[in-house]
Amino acid sequence: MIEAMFAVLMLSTPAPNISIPVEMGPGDLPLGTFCRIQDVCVIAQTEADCGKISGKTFTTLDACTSAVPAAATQQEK
Amino acid sequence: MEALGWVRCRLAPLALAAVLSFAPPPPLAAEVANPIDPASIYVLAVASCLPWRPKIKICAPDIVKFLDTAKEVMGVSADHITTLVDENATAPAVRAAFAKLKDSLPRGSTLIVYYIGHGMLVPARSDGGDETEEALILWSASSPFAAIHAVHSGMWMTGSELSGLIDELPAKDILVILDTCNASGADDEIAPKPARFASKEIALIASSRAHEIAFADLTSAAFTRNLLAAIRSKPPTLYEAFLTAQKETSAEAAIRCEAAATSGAIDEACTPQDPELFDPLGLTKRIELRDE
Repeated sequence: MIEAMFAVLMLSTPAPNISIPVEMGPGDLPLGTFCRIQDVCVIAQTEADCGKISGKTFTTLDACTSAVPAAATQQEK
Repeated sequence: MEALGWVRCRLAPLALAAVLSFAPPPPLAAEVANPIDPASIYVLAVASCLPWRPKIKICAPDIVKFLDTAKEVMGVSADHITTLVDENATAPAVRAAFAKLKDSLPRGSTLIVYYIGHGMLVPARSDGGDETEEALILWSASSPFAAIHAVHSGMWMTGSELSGLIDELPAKDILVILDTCNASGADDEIAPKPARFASKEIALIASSRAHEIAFADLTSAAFTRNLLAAIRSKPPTLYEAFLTAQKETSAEAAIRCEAAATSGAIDEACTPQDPELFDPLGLTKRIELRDE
C-alpha cells in the first residue's frame, strides 16, 4: 500500500556536493520532505519545491498519507 | 544468625593480626564477573565510505585495524568474522548478512556489530519517542535524491530496521558499535528495552551524540582510533577501554573543532564529539581484553 502511495518526484537537481574532510555525515545532501498533492504523497527535495506544485509538506510518510485529502475537505465545507 | 555473628566477631581480630604481620600482597587484577567466552564471540563489521563523499577513505583501513584488535585482544576467531566494506556494504548486503547470521549463529552466542561510515538523523517513521532516528548511510554508487528517499527506498538502514534485524538473531548478547555522525540517535531503537531483558542483552557504543559530528582524518576515524588504542592498552574489560576512548575522543574533537571553526573549514555550528555508552546490564564489563 505504501508503494502505491509512494512516488519520487525529482523537482530539482541535487545540490552541489561540498565535502567537509573531517565530517562523517552526508555533506549537503538534502533531507527532503514528504509532499502531498491531492491524494498522492511524493518526496520533494525542499518545501519550496513542494510549494511550486501547490503541495503540502509533511515530516513523515504516515502523516502525509493519513492527511485528509484536499478534495474531501472542500466537500465537507 | 547468632552463630554467624559470633564467627564474624571472633575472626575479626585474627584478620587484623594477619594484616599487621605480613606485607600487603601485590594487587590482583580485578576478576571479571561472568566473562564472555571469546570462542562464543562473532563479529559483523560494516564499513561504508561513499564514492560521492570522496574525501573520507578510512573505511577499509579502519576495518582491518578493528578486526586485528578483535582477534588479538578480544580473542575473536577469524572464522567468526563477517566483513562488508565499501561497495560490498550496501543495505541489501547488510540485510543478507543478518539473514545468514540468523541461520548460523549458535544460540546463546555473542555478536559484535561494528559500523563505521556516514550517518544522518532522519524523521522517525513511527509516532512516539524521539522525533528523529539515526540512519546508516550504506554504500551507493551515487548520491540519493534526498535522505528520506534513501531511507524509504531501502538504500539506507535506520536504527529501527537494525534493531529489528538484531531481534531476530539467536545470539544472547549483542554489542553494537557505531562510529558515525549522530551515533547516539540510534539509542532508543537499539539500546535495551525492558521487554528484551529476558532473552537478550544489548549494548550500544556510540562515537558521538545525536546532532554531533564524528570526526575522521585521512588515516582513521577519531573514535575508532582512540578505542582501538585503549583496547590495546589492555585494561580489564571493554568498559574501561571505552571510558578512556571517550575521554580522548572528546578532548581531541574539541581541539579539532575549534581549529576548524577558526579556519572556516566548517561553516556551521560546530559541536564537540562525545562518545556515549548505553549498557544498562553491563555487557561491556563482561568482555575481557587480553593477549591471544
